[in-house]
Amino acid sequence: MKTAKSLTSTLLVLGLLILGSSGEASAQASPPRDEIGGSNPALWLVNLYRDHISPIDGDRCPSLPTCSSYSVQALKKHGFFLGWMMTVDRLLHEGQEETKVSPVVYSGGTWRIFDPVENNDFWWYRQATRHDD
Amino acid sequence: MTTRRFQGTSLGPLLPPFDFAQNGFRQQPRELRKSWIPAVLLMLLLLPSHAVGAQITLDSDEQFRFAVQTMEKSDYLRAVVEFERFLRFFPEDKNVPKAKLLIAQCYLKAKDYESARKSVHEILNVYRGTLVGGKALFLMGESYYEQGLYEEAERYFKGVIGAYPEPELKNSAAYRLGWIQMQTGKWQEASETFKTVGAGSPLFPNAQDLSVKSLGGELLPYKDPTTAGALSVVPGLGHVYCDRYKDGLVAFLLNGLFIWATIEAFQEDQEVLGAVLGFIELGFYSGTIYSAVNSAHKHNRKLKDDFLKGLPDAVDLGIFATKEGHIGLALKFTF
Repeated sequence: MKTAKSLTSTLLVLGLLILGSSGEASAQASPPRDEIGGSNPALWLVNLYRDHISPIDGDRCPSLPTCSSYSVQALKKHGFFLGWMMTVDRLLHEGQEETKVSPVVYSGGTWRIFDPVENNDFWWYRQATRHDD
Repeated sequence: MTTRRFQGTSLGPLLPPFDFAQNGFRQQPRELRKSWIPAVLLMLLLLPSHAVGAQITLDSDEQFRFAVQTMEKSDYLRAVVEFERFLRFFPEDKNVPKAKLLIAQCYLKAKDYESARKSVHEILNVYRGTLVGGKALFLMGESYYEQGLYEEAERYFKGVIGAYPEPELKNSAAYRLGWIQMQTGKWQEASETFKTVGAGSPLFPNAQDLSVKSLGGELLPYKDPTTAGALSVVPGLGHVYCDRYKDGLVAFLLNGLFIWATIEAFQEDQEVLGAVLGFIELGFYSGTIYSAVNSAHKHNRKLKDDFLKGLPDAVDLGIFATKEGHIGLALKFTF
């Protein structure tokens, strides 16, 4: 009985989160202030962090773009699930070990690891290009 | 060579046309002479000395040379303007096809790939099937190659090989195709492709060298992305496999804490909290697997890039702007 209750609660929460999430298309269709998050709870959470926590916590991200900007870009580009996975990936690899495989650039008065979204989806994602000749 | 002359003063168009040689003052009515002489004298007095009689002689060869020199100074966008000036004033000159190719090349050098491709399209519309068309197609492939779009680049270089029999063009395209195959990790194919570069080609020695060296790409200590992902069933182990020990430890601790918190929440009958934590952990767990696979790919890319940086690339598109004015593929050997 207890197991069934736990399972129902889990499925309910998962269902709500999945229903509330949105992919690339809906992220693009949202109004200009889509940084608010629109119907994408992950974007909403990231922006909550950017607007209210980060200004107090300070800029501690060693990468460029910053982790929150990266997260917003990944969520917009690849939707909720892949965006989330890529955000987790970024949070895990933002340390010194990343400098072995990514360039270090001077930006905003400090040296940062240049690690845009394209640096982490290059092996499976590519933009469609025109073939008109 | 064609020559164009232009009046150097802006007042020129204001003066009525008057041919002194043919008409002369004697043939003019006295009234006209009277009204013109003081006016012309006054204007000559007012004009600065350098403006009188200054004229620009635009010589087609000189204009072309100047554009090429501008290009050689790496001022590519200004060179485009100069080449366009050349095309505007000397549309029938023998150097017109060369200038058009150089415009495309200038854009390529300036990394403005879209404009380069637009220029190439314009050339192809006129010169398709000719040697100039073949060179334009080569530049099209090169624009994609430099952008890292190897699939498209490969299509164009294969097009050059298939449609243009001119040996040097064919050899250059084959050589570039070999590089594309190295960039995409097809080391064996690359080795074979380099062998197809003809013995008479200036690229031949370099291609022969690369046909051997390219095989070294297979022996690099790559990490298998599938293994990295599979090992990440235990969070962090995939990272350790990719030599990222700190990342592995962070991944292990984060996932461990979330799993522990989720189990605790359910054991304490906090189902909603447990579900939320479980959902977050699901994201972290899948993100950890993604991260390990991604780390393997990045490791491999770095290995390959470093390996390729050590190989000499003999194709230099500084090529079209030789002092002798050749349109062709010149060579730059990097040791």
